[in-house]
Amino acid sequence: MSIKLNRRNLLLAFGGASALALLSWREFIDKIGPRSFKGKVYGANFRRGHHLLKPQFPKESKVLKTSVAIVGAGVSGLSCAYHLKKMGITDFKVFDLEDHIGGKSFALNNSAPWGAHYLPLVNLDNKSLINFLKEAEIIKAIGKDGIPEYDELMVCSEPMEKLFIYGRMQDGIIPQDHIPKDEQVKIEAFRQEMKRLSLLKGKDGKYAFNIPMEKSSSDFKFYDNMTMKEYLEDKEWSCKSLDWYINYCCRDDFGTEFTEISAWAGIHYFAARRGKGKDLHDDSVLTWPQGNKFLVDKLTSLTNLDFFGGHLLFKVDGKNLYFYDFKKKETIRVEAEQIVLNLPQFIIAKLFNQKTEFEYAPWMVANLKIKWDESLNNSLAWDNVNYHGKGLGIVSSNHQKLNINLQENILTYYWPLSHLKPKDARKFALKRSHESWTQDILDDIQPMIFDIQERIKSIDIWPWGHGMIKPYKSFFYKTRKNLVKTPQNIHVAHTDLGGLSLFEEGFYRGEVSALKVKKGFKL
Amino acid sequence: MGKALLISVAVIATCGLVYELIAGALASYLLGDSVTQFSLIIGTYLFSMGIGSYVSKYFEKNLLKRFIQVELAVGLIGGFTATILFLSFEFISSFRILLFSIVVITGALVGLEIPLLMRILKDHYDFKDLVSKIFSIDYVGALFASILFPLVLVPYLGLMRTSFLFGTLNIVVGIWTIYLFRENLGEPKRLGGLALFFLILNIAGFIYSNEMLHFSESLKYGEPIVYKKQSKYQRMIVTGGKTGLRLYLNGNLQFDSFDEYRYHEALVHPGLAAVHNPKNVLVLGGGDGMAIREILKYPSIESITLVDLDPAMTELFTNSELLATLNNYAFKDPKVKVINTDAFVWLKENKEVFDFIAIDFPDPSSYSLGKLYSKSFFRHLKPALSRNGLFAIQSTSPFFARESFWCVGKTIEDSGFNIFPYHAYVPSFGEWGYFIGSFKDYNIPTTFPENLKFITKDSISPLFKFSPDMDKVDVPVHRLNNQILVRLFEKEWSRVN
Repeated sequence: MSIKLNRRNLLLAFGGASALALLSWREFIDKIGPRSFKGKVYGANFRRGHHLLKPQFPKESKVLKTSVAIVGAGVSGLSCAYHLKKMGITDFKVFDLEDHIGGKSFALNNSAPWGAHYLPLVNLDNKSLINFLKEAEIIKAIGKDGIPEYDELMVCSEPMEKLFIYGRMQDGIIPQDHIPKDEQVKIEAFRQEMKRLSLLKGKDGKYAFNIPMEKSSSDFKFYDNMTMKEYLEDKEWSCKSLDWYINYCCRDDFGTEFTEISAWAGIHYFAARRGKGKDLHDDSVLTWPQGNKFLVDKLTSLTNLDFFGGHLLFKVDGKNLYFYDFKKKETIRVEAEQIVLNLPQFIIAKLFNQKTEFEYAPWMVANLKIKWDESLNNSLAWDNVNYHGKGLGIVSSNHQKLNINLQENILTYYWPLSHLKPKDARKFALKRSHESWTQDILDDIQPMIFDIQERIKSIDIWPWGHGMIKPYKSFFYKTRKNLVKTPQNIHVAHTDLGGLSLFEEGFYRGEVSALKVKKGFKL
Repeated sequence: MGKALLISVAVIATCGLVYELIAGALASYLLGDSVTQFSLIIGTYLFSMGIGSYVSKYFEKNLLKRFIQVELAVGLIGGFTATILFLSFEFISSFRILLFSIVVITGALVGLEIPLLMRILKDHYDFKDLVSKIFSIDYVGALFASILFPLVLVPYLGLMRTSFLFGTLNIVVGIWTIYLFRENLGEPKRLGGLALFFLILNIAGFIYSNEMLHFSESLKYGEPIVYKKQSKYQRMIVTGGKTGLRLYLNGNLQFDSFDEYRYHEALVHPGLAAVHNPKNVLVLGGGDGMAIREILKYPSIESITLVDLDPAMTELFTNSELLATLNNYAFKDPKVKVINTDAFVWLKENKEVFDFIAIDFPDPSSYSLGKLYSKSFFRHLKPALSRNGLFAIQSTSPFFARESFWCVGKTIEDSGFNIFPYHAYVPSFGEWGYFIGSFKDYNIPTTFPENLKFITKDSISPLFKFSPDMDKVDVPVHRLNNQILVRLFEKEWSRVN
């Protein structure tokens, strides 16, 4: 009835225990150890794009003819197609390196954004965009006073924004809790000044700041000669909380720190929007679970696109465009009367063997599928920001839904890699593993959702190598003047021409290029 | 005999670690933040073991008897740890004090065990042998417990039963020791009797742990629970008492069969009796079928569509004999069609037109429920209501949440309806409020179905009059982009509760 306690038995006991431990090691780790999560790292097809660096493609095996070739199916390209159709020009084809339409207004399974995800109320003088929104039934009617009536279900509902700061969630993103009185005074002074600037007009009768930016007055160039940080210091407003807020906004809109961004661009974020909507406060935004993919789908459905996905443009020669088709693995030549390149300058520079000083901000966007319940619905807003975090925060794709008791949600996490130079940031992003991205994401979210680890079903990650144009100091009045030179039959349209990566800008650039095409046909 | 005591070292080592894990796991379950809880519990537990070890030197005589007493005490306290903590969590305010008291006591007792045993065994072994044997067994037992706990014990037994099982083992060690040393002990029978009593308590606890959990919930609801179910969306509990049945959803009272007729008669009849020849009726929410029971009292009705999110709820009130009698088997009526989906989502797609619509949603206590009371919702309701039709909506209490009530009214009015507010006294809820909405004028009806207990020709008109303490207040319209009602509701009800 007794076990002998000698060395043999002891070893057996230890051995048995270890074996048991080893057998259930996986289960054990799953329960208590650090977890690994399902999901993968996607990526805009940079490998396809990199073929441009050493172009080696087969001889052409097919020829297509069209009146207008539109290269790039982001918002600029789609807007170009939309406007061409409105002008009665219907013989056009649209090409893109990616398999999908929409560029950075793209979504995961059409249910959560991989990039652009909202549109502020549109300025009333932006007639063509308002007309499009009306056609798309996003604006239901326009009142006698000219104020649009937006579809309420598309307007971001309350609570819109929350900030996790010093241990709790506060309403709104501008820091309020535990902010010293003198800083609050500076924040208020800044807001008043932005209000003033938003109504200010130049001698040319134009608003000082407007969107699209080409409509801004040219009397305020001096703001382009300083960074946003220098602007704040000049006004003696620089302080911890306001610096954080302004830097946050610059990273949000430009993927760039406020120590680098042109104040002219930065102020556009705060003072270029004067949109109004019936029964809406002026800061309202339009948003959808799938983000701006919704707008892209509307643009597409109003246009009947002839779309060629997976096509890399590698050579332009007069009226001939040479594409490599990644699906069929063949080269096609497209003969077009007129060509619209809805591509960023860095790609156009490659195509025409020139140089560009334009720089682009790399981003990381992650979509986290998580278990959801009512309690989170009450503690979180649409956009949730961690004051102490690396990224910009998380956006809830359930927010606009009308369902009660949803059991699942997708949170979209945004992180502009603005702490590194763009080149280094791209290298950094390429090297990172799913685990290390995940760790950063969870560190940021944990304070807002304490049991996030247990809730996660999957984490998918999308690093954007060239997410947005970076409008550095003196971008608008210096850098922007040196564009890549292209022949007369080739029109260039992309948001980087205006320095602001916004839906309105892309829409505007598309419209302008369509007008150029029309003019080209008349000549 | 020494070897027998060594075996008990293995058992008590396992038990000791299991109690620590139980306290840690329970604290994480109940208080959240598992890292902090585990860390605090383990630290306190080990420290208390230190206290026990220190105190052991003051025990000079009758070491065997002391050891047995410690075993019995650990067995009793350890065995009941999980149960005591579970049951008390709902009822005491200073849960942490109780939790750490139990951890300190158990830890101190466990800390006594090994020093006492070593002193008992010191004559049987060389000191170096003794130390090496006791500690190696102690640590093997600890490893055994830590592997067993997450993989076998918690998944298969649950925390309460694990607690009782190991309490029992501790007592068995005590009893075995009594048996082995019966010659050396002064009063083996008295000690044995106590041990047997503790053993029975623990075994009974093990067997009846589910019943105890059930009982604790009954205490919380103040009445015996006759039905409970966790559906995909909510925890449904039905209690039965002297006055009848009560339904709780997520802990909130939905109805008491004693007075629910007041609530549901008031929801349906003031509106429906005023509609001429109603045929097609819609019920949004109201998965308990009580509103349908009232609607079926109108012979002209041809079809009733009920849209409720939770299929478990409509299923329960269709098939449970106990509950279906309450709604008079309303769901079995061929005129009734049930759709289990989100009401707002359904309404957006709906093309049908109804003569009467009864809206019985949960109160606007969250942002997602708030959407069901928004201007957008009522605008989507418009095409579903016939020109001469009416709708009635429960709108929380005009007494306890006066601004919330009138906010609902203002929102309905702003969406293009005429509103006719009224209220009813429902003892379980207090003074409760409703709105009738219509495109045309509304006259209080004078004929009603027979045998109503609350709404009659004579009793109805005072319901449309509001005393000054519930009378109209000016509040903004509740829209999706301000969610004002949710804020008002939270402010007003937090004052009451």
